[in-house]
Amino acid sequence: MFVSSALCGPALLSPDPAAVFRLLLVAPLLEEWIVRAGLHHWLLQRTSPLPAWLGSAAVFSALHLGSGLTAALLVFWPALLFGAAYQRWRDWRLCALLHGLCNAFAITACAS
Amino acid sequence: MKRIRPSHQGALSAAGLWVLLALAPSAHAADALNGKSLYLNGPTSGGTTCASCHGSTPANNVNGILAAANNPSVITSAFAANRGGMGSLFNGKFTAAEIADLAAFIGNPNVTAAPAASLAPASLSFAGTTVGQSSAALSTTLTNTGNAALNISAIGVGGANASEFAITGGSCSTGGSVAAGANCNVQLVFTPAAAGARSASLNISHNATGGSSSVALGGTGNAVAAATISVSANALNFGALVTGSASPVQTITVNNAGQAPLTFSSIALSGANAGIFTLGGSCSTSAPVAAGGSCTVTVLATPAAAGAFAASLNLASNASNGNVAIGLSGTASAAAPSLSANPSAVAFGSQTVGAGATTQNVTITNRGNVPVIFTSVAVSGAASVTIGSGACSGTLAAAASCNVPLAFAPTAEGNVSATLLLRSNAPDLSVGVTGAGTSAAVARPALSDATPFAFADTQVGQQSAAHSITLSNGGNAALKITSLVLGGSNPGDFALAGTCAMNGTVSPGASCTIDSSFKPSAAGARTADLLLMTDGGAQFTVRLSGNGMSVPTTTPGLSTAPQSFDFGSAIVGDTGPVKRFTLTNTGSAPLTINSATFSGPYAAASDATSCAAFPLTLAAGASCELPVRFTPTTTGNAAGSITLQATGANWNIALSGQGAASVPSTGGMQNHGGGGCSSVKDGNDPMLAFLVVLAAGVLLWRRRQARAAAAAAALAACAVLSPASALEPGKPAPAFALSGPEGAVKLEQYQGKLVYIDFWASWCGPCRQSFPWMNEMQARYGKQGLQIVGINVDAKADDARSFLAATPAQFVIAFDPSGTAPRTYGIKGMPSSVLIGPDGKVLYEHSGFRAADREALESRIKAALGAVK
Repeated sequence: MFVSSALCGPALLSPDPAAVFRLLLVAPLLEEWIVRAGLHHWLLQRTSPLPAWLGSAAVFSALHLGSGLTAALLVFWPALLFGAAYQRWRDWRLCALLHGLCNAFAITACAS
Repeated sequence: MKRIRPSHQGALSAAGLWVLLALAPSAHAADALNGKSLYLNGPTSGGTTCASCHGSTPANNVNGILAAANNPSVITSAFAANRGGMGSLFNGKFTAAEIADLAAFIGNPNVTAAPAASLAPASLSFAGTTVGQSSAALSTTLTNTGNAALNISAIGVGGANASEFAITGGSCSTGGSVAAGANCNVQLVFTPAAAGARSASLNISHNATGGSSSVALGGTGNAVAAATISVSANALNFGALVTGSASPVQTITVNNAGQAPLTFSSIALSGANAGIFTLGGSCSTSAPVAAGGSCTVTVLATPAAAGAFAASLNLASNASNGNVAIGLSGTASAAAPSLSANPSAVAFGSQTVGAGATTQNVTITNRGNVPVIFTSVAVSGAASVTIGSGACSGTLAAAASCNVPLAFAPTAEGNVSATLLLRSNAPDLSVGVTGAGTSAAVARPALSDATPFAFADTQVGQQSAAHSITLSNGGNAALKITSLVLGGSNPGDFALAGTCAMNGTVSPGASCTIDSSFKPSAAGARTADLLLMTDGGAQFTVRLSGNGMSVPTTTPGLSTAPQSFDFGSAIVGDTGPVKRFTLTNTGSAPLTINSATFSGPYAAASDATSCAAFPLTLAAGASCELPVRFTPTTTGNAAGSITLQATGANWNIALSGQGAASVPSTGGMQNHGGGGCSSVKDGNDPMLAFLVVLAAGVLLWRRRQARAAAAAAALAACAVLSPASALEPGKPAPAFALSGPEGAVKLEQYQGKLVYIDFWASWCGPCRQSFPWMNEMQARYGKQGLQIVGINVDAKADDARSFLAATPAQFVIAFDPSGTAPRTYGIKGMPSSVLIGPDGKVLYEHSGFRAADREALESRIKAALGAVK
């Protein structure tokens, strides 16, 4: 209940087509391009993998502070998953796909 | 470094397009509060309520309404499929935005849970009555349009002449309760104690917004028996007419509700366009109307010029309630033929294959201002659906109606779908027809009389005699009544009773009765549609109509809809919800409202379609909308009101709402965004623009890196293609002459020193890690003869300078934007280093820079310096 109330914002509880479009396509592509192809890649050139992994996940969480502190803290964990995928395969598109799938799951769970 | 492949750029370009699409703001933000109002009160243009079939709240999921929670398309589909008769009731009555609001309310049925009281009629005008005698009884109906029980704490009459108006009956009672969606009535009688205008008010105290509702009571006391005039309309609107053509005749019925003959002294027209009207009818200055009798005045308009027209019909008489003025209005415009069908969709339901045909009538009405000439009336799509005799044909005059009888005789099992299409000089009109053939036992519902029924003229506040229709089941299976409701323009002005009831069952061979009656809440023509549907899918529509008669008074009359309103919860500091109140002049003379005063956190929110600025004048029967916004400034309950002031009268609309604390943007349970799934709240969130800018920055950065990587790859390719230039230990190092931040840098100037040349680029991560180590080496071994030279291969020296600003070098730097030196040295990647002895010969070369390389490289340097010594 705590997680659902923190995560299930209006866009998830009653997603209109535009919200679904944003959640499944726009947000995953934009955010993964910035955080993974940009920040994570940049960090990997300058630091060792561990701080790059943690740092990019922290920034990803910070980007979601607009959804509330709880939601921002909760998305840190999937951010670690996306970051691990990037460090393993170095392909931000794969991270965007994972991100989109996570959002699809959230929409389904919140709307049900 | 990977080069950014075209597929990446393509994906990003597509993302950019999507972003632009997502930036488009939503056309409408669904308003559950308005959805609640529509659900409980029906369409704004009038009609039945959703609550009549789905209960007072969607939360109970009556008839599966929760399927439409936050899903407007479910509602739209249900209308289109005429599910449960919804197409007949609501097609064209809700806008897309209103359907979205309904879906939002269905998704949030507890947006507010409170009773809401509504009284109709909101004023009662008794016929003139001889002093000491009692008038006929009038009644008003109290309806609970909210979604919680309405508790009545007191019912009483107050005001100047309270003792002359007595409550004589009705179903409302002190201490009683009216369930959500239900109603009760209060019956009153007027017994004047003195001659002249008498007034009072009926007050009902309850637990809904405002705490009480009141009905203005008026009447005239006559010292001797006198006539009282009542009319069937306070105003006539002729609609859109064609210039130069006569309108359909409109009729006003004039009734003498008094106890003495009514004698007209004048029946005349006045006003700017009086000349375009022609009067007729049986009312005459030479023909008194006996007590209880009536006569008619017919009015014909023949506009000569385009544009709006208006005039006034004045009836001067000996009536105790004075002279009467009836507003006449309309517009003259181009010819516009138009047809409408009732019902707008026909459903036969399941019928036995091979049994006799069942029939239903579709009433076609000419809604335009010129005659309609039919060119074809046909059914297509199913041979089992046919048109009977007597269907519409030839010419249909403006405002006239005709019928198309449809018969359904299935010849095979399965669903049947057909279309009735009427072609004429009006736009094509099509009516969907559905049915199903079955060999199973089926019910065979039939109405004893499905033709339109017109009730006798009835005074506002009274109820007509009932019109009874029998529903019989001639089939061999029981039927269940799934819908039995009133729809159309004025469903509240009619009442249903009888033995047929929603969810009731009629056995094979049995029947039940539907008793409809007319109880006008206002003067003028009133219509409604009785809609009956069975579980087999059969649908019947019966048009009901009647004229409401009112006793004109000199007292100003204003009705408001709704009469009170609970805005529910709104966030303190937010813009707040808006509710539109309809103000209607129910009097018989123009009404000027001087001002509207608000108390509490409520204010007028005027827009393009709202009432004109105060003071404003409403013609008799005219309406306008007053939008009101609730903007709470503190948390908790916020009661308030609107007081509308006119000369000699004022009206109050009670308002209520609750201010809720805004949730901080960080912390708390409320989630404002995309649920953590998106940092972007909606298409208007500035965060979206910020992300787009960031993404563009990443794109530029990665493109630059890709170019540099390509340059390095080209260098490597050159090295491979020029093996003669590759380095070999023991051979002389190629000379170079470059420029650096501190001047020219040539290999020859370091003759006699141990030279460590490092090829680096600004985009190269390991290069950045190698600089601190090279600084350390230069400091440690410089005095022993080591000279480190860093040759930068960036195409732009500015890139190198930016790098050096962040990562200072304590050794010699040279710029080689053309890549000559790395080419001659056969460099294959960044960073690469070459150790050159004091004799100018290559000692060692190395690619890359890893942590483990530090010790190996330092050993090489130490060894070379040892050899020098």
